[in-house]
Amino acid sequence: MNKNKLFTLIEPYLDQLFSFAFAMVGDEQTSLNIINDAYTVFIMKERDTILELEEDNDKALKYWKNTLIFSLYEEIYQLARKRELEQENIYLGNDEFSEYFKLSLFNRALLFLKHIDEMSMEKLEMIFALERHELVEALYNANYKLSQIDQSFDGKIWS
Amino acid sequence: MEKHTLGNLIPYANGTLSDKDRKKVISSLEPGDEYINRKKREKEFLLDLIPEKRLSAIHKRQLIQKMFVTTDDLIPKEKFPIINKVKKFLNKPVVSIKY
Repeated sequence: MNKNKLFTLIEPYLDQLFSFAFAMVGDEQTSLNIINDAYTVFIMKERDTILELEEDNDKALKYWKNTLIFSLYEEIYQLARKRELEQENIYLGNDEFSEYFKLSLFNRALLFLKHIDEMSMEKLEMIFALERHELVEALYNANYKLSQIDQSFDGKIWS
Repeated sequence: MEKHTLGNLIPYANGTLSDKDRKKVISSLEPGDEYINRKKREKEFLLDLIPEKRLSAIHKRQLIQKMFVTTDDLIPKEKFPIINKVKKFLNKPVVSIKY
């Protein structure tokens, strides 16, 4: 597969990836850097596949396209996690969504992928390496925590 | 139509249903059902609190440029065509006889 073909596969997902990266780090420039870093890791891992993949093999391309976006999400999450461990305060400030950014990185990632990207439970299990029951519990807790931080909702929605 | 019960609403509430099954549960509920309205409000409430930042055209250009450079660094240009050429060559028969 040539470079242009590779970019035609990735380009439609850039908006989604940026939204996710922003939800992780809360800053535009850091989001761009983290996407490029994730892409670098991805290229290093998939280098041989990219070179071997034939552009006219639609079946293989379709399969690879599905794993591509999923792998990039995974890398972005892992890199954001590493950055958070290295720097004490990764969050650079975002007044509009300050309540959301008070949550842990894990909860932020979970809420974003489930509610904004509407990712399937199977994919979430793989990204976070959780069993189904653990994932359901984590989702419930993340929803609950966000609703507790923001008290503006009328009524007890989690009861 | 099967009426909803506590048993089939649990996977719905947990968000573990497939699209098809979710539609089935929703269609089994009566219009204006309190439970479904509450879940809708809950979803809208959460969506308002989660940022969904869009990528601006300038940032998109910047990002694509960076990614192009990364690709060139990790997979040099000459690598792409050589492999494709060799594959095309190997896929073609060396000799073909026309009858």
